[in-house]
Amino acid sequence: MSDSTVSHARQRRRRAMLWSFAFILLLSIVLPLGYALAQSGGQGVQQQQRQQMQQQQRFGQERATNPRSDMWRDAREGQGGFTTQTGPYVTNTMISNTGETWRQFRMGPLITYGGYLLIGALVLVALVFTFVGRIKLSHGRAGMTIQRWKPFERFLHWFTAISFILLAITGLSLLFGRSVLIPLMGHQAFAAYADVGKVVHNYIGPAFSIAVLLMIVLWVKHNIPNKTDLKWFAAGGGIFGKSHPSAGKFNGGEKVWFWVGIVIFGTAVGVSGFLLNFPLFGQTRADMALYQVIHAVTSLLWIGFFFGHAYIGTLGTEGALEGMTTGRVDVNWAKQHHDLWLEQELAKGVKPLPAESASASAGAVPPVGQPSH
Amino acid sequence: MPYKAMLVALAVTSLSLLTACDQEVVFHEPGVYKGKHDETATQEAAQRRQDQLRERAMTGMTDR
Amino acid sequence: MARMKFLCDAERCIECQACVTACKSEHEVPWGVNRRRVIVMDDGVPGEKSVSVACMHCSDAPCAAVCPVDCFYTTADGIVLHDKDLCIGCGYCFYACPFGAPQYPQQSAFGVRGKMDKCTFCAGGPEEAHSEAEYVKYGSNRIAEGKLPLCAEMCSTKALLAGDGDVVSDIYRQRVMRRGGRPQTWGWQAAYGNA
Repeated sequence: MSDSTVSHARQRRRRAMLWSFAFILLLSIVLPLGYALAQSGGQGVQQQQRQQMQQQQRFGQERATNPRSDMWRDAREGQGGFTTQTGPYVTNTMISNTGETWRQFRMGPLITYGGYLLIGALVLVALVFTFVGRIKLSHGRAGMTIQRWKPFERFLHWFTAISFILLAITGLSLLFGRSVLIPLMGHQAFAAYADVGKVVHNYIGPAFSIAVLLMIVLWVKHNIPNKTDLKWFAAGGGIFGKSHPSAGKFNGGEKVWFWVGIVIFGTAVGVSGFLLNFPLFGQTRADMALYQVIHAVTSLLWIGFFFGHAYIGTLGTEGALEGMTTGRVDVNWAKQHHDLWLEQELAKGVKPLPAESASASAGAVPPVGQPSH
Repeated sequence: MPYKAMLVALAVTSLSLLTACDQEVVFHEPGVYKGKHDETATQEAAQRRQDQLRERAMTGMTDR
Repeated sequence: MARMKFLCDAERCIECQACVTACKSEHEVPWGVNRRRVIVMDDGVPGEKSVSVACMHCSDAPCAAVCPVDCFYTTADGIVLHDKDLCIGCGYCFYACPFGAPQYPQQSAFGVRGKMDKCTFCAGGPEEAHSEAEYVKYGSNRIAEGKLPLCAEMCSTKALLAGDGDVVSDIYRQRVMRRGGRPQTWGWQAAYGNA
């Protein structure tokens, strides 16, 4: 009884503290702003007057500062001047200070820790494979298969998968090629390869981004997080431990890959890549350097994440890959990994077919009596 | 306090990022180039024309 | 050993654009590519100054550091040159350069970059000196002839100085001593460090 009142009082006190803190913060913003607004009256007029005053000061005899030092200060700070030369890469600044920052970041943390990240991700996958091993079908194969992915979904998956790998290889070559590939291939061969690689990267990139967008639209309805996912994570996803947590069409891990990998990383990489690919919207050097940083950091994280996804989909789980290659999965596999989805499909009246008839017509042609859409 | 932990983690990562930054300045290594050979970039060529260029600068650049 | 440097004396530059014209004419630089440009600060107001800017041939060149194909090299004279056969036109040197020196001919639509072009200190590139290939790719090679960059040699007010760093600073120091005022070796800190 007394315990609860004490905690109640404490809670009330804490809430009051929080609110008063928020109130003080609000006042500290509003009061000076209100004062400034009241002082300034009409903002536009004020600004014009100030500009005029500045002009007068510039030409007048009395000035607060030396015009010569003003000019050199502006030049050092990277302020623009006037130039008669024209061209897409002509800039009117004498000196740009962001380049050195970008160079330090790219040649330092990005290359060093980016490399460690990729190696670390590969080592982690190898460790999981050696110590946890392949997740076997616990009851063997049922011999009956059920459709999991429609042909269009499979096409989309493999289109993005192949272009992702091509983009990753060409992109990583540009970042790590100088330290890894040039000693192996020599300058001439690497330059020839990088030239082709750049073109491949620039042309596949936009197509890949569009496919990623389609993927998001196509699969978002299966990826709404729910309580089942929490239980799935609590059970270690069935990778760590013996249990087989239940899951719908997409399990918790697949949902993380969808939201973090495809939605967040995909958007960041796609947008920054688009801006880097088409320098036609008035991007400055500083902007381009920033986009390059965003593009490289998210891509590296994405590639590291992709190692995990590729491992689980191929080596890590028995019977998972055939879902994406043939479109059909074994019923026992579905029961083990996506039980809720299997129940749903069976309730919808989808009949599992014997594996032979399905595999005979594997590929693009759906089995007889199974409409593809 | 996950918020505090997050702040600490952020601070630690941003500080550790600095450890990869290089303060060393790479002054130019003349003639060290792994690509195509450039005859006029070598030490000997530079030595040969050093006086010529210096004289040129003294006569061409000073105020007349 | 000589260490080639540029210095533009802003007290003398009269913004005549002759250095730009000379460079374009000497090296047959294509349209839209400017190896050298004149920047005017505070145009039309008191304190107006102009400076002629091109590649400064940095000691620790940022362009060379970030180049993915490692196509830059420094000559024994301290001139930063690059190999157009290796260049892939990625644009990284342009992002890194403090002086905005790297330029790219626009090849086609969508802003695709051609091979990078920049000031060579009139020293050509990694082709045989005075060969046709060198002239087409990098322009003329005056250094091999024992001449200094044309932009500086023909500067009417001797505002733009080019040559051995020691000689250039000597000339500039004498000027500052004669005319008074503070020296302004613009860009030297960024390009050549404190050395």
